[in-house]
Amino acid sequence: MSHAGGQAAPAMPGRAVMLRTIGEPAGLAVLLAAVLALPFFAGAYGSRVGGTILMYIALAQSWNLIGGYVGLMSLAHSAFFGLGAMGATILLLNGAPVLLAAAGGILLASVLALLIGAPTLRLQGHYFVIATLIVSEALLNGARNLNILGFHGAISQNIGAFTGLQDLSAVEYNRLFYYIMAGLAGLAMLLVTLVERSRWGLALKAIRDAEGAASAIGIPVAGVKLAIFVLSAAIAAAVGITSSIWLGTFDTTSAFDLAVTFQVIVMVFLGGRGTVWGPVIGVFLVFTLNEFIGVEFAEISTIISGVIVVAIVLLQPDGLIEVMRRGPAALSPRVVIGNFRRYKVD
Amino acid sequence: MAAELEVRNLTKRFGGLVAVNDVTASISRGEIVGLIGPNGAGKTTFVNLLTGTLKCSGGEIVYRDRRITELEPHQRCRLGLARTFQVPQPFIGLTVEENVMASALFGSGGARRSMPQARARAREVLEWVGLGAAAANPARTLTTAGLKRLELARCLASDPSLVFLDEPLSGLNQAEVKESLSLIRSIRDRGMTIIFIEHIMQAVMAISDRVIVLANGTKLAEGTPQEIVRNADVQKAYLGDVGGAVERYARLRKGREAAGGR
Ligand SMILES: Nc1ncnc2c1ncn2[C@@H]1O[C@H](COP(=O)(O)OP(=O)(O)O)[C@@H](O)[C@H]1O
Ligand SMILES: [Mg+2]
Repeated sequence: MSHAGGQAAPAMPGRAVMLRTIGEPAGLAVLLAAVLALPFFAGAYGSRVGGTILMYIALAQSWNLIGGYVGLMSLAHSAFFGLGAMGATILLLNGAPVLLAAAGGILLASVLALLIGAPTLRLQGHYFVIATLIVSEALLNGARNLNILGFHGAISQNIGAFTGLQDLSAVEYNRLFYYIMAGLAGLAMLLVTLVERSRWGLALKAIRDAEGAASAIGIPVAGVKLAIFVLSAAIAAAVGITSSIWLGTFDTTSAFDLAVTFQVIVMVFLGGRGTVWGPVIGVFLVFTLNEFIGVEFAEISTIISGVIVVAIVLLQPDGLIEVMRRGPAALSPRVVIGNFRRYKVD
Repeated sequence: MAAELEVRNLTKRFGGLVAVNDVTASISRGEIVGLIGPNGAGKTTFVNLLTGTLKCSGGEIVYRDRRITELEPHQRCRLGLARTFQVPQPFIGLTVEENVMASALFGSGGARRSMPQARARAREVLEWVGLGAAAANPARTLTTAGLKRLELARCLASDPSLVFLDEPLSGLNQAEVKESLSLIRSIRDRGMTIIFIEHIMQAVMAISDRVIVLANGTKLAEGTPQEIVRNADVQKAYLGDVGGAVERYARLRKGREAAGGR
């Protein structure tokens, strides 16, 4: 039996590596410049569409942290989106400055995520999924019936007049929110990148793949899961707050709308869960599909996108990013049939 | 010799079933202790209690004069306890090397390591267990023997002082068993204490300093391999089983012959 300490041969600095080290930062710089410049070319409408895409990138990435990396299919994402927006609305209605109101909304959602996560994250598999679904419903109903401090959950609340932003022109106004959404998307991307490159990325994936083994090698499973759940909720809340202030109204039913959660999950699964760029690809894919299917086959668009989603999830569960990485090989009959046989919901 | 681990009156109930029943034992530093017993004797449950995977229904566990009965598995790992699983539990979405790196980062030696240092440590341990060539492969591509080695590597990369090996030899062929046995000896040569579950008697006898026998959750016997082989209770627990099987097979053959089969 060999006791020799294995010394790794240093990686050859081949063409691919050089392309990566030069190409990656350059590509990122171009992308960043394009994102920042867009509102100056696209006008108010362009800022609205661009900002919405960025909003979904932030939501998809924040869900990716808990759903993609830890493999916990939380259905509570839109609840935290709504809680943040509701908290901020209550504070705005009572005269708080915008930033304070936003901080309060994020705090509210984070505290609730802590209270909800502590018991539900102990549940296994489907029980966790169902628990988050029930919690979402309960929070929606609670919010609908809430009447405090001038807030009435049953009716739409106008908050545009309380933000001090009503004097901006339409172009300036939309541009402002575009940049806030860009900041949130950038923050979420940064977090995912940091996780991916650090020891915590390994910890999250280890928990996803084998929780018992993860705790046996020293990973504080319960603490890590709770921390990621709260972080994910806090980002969703920040996005919800931005979105409702941008709209100028808070409407309980649409702020807590479970459809947003499903939309986001579809994006992450389509693009590739547990990766940095998969969810981004997924967002663009869904927007493109909605655009195309929505116009051509308006009546059956939900069915068509449903079929596409199920097909991709069953046949290539690693998402479109896997197809882009490996080329057509990722969709060869052997791979696809193998995936289909192996598929299980975890 | 200083006691590495003291187990007092350890009990685990699953509903009405008492899987581990009032077991008391002491493990000395640097020993290889074989833990044997028929299937369902409670060996895996016993290890699960010691590593914290399961909470005990009663009793006490003391590791190096520290009571660890209430600690979580990850806390026990950081104190220096590590284990392999009888049914391998690889992180299938990671490479072989990443599996081991995770342990090098979060185990008892983890706080001191950067990512590159953990990678170097993982390479070293993978060479040690003979998986060096597979480091970059996805863990899901490993064979049974490979998965057993990965379990060992992941356990060792956490820098433990006390390791629990749950049937590391099951599913291996003759040559692999021999290799694994010398690997286990090399673990001890590095100063670790080993508790080693196995139901192949010869393997246990060959390697253990001391053997503990579990049957129906209770400690049936304890002693050197020679003492255990001669122990009448142990022979009954084991050979009773074998004798029964031989008898059943003989009856089956008779039945077939009577029915006009080959
Ligand atoms: N999680 C559990 N729930 C209920 N019963 C269990 C559980 N784990 C083990 N048992 C039972 O406890 C007994 C001991 O099992 P185990 O410790 O796996 O035995 P061994 O490892 O010696 O083969 C068996 O009867 C088994 O069915
Ligand atoms: Mg067992």
